[in-house]
Amino acid sequence: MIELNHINVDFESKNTTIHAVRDVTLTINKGDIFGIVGYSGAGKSTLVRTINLLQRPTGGTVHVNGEDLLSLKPKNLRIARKKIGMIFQHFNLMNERTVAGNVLYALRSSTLPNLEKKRKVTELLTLVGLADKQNVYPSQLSGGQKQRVGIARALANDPEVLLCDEATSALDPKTTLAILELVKELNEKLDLTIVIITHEMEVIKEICNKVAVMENGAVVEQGSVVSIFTDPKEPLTQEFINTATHIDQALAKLAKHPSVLNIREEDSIVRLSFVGENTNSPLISSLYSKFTVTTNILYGDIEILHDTPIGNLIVTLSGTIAQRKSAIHYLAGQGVNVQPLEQIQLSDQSKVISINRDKHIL
Amino acid sequence: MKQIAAFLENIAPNAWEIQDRILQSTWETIYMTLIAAIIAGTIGLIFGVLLVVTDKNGILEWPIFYRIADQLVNTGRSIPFIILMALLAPFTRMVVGTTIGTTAAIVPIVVGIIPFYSRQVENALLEVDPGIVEAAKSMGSAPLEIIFGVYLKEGFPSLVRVSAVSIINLIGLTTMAGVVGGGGLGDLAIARGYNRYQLDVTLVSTFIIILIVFFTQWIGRIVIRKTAH
Repeated sequence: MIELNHINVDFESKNTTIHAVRDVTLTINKGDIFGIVGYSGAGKSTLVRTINLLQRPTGGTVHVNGEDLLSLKPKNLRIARKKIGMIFQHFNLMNERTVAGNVLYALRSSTLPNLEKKRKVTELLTLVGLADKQNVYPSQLSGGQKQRVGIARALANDPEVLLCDEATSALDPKTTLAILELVKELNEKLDLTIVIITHEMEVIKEICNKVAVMENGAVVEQGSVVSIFTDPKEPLTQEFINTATHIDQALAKLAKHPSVLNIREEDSIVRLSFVGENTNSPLISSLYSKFTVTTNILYGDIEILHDTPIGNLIVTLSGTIAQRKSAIHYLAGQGVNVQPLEQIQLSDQSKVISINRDKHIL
Repeated sequence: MKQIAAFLENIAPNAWEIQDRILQSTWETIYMTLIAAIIAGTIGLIFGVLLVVTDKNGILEWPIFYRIADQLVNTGRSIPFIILMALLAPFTRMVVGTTIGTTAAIVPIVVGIIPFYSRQVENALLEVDPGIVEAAKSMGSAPLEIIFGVYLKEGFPSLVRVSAVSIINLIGLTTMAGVVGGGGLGDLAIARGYNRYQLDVTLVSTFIIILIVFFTQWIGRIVIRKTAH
């Protein structure tokens, strides 16, 4: 549906060239909800703007629905853009037009007769749940309602793609969920391909099926959301996941209160993560019955991503070194990802540090 | 009624005597203001829009055009109006056939106010949220649709505001029309009031000009209140 091939975007300023996007190649399939996540300044917004050529790439090709957008004449590009809806962080509604007027604007150059257009506007506003706000001006709407108008407007020309540029970043958590729910519903109802730019992994977790992680203009990791969440390779990805699964907060809490750990020579702290089936099997009790290793759960979290349960535990395993080794070996054999967390002694206090992160502290 | 007339005659005897002249001067001022506002308004609006759309990152970015237009506006604004009237005399003759009279005065007034108004329009339109322009682009709007559907529509309240300011400026320019025999309240205040030591005539002229200015502001405010959301 959308193919970005070796996209580069450079911004020339007086003395320097800023590489906003570096050699990004992405394929987004029809019906995907594709998330692009990264910190601000990572180049996500610039990248998503190359999909409808609001930003012309300095290098690479853009294909949407099989059409090479860069080769289109201005007039044909405008026609192509009508099939690519876009919503924005700050909604970008026209303040001097009513809600209906905003949606109607998108139909300005449509060949539909006026009566049809009006019917279509009502239909769209009903779809996003704002049928009663037709004649209200945007200044009288809440953020969530404004974004709903933005969505209705973006859908006016029956697009096949919807680009969401930080569409929920200006909204509170509850409204964010409601908007995401609507987006997901549109994806299913209208078979819409959706690209979501965000800095919140929560958003990705909530609705995306695929995700790309961006840093410094480049995509550092991409794949299905389940695979990225269960087996993140890059440090940045792990950082995002840890934030989204609250592992980070849990570790920080544990580090602050080493007393709860009560770590002895024969203890090791590990993080166990597991996907799918294993969530159901009684692993912890088998550890004791098989290896006489006792397990103390310090933190636990289970997420359901696209019907796949994903578990994260932080536990202390107690036993002899040999017992612990075979226990860990057994766990790994059961498809559980075992990640030892290191302890460092700071005077009397123990501190827990995730092994893959903050290595420089050790 | 008679008492009011007597009172006015008493406090402004010279002005009372030349009532017809005052009425005529007022009319000349309004005439110059209206005609100049319509002509300069149209040209200035087009010019202002061109400045916005050809500017860097504008929807019809055209750096050379912008730089020339920008310089023209700056140059135009730096020429004192009284000199501009003299400078434009040949051009005025070309356009209206004479360099003397109310209609002839309109030519330099129009030329004098266009740079000012263009800049005002440019500033008003730059207030339109670039995000809205981007949204319109993403919806496949053509440049003309963006100019009419976004810039002029979204910027309308600001346009009304700067137009009112420009008209008030324009009224200021009409007071100098006397130099080329254009008449008007400014001419009256100088030629009668000042030169003949008839202070009451000057005061009455000032008063009427202030009334016209207030009226312009009032209309502007009403239109903004009715249209801004």
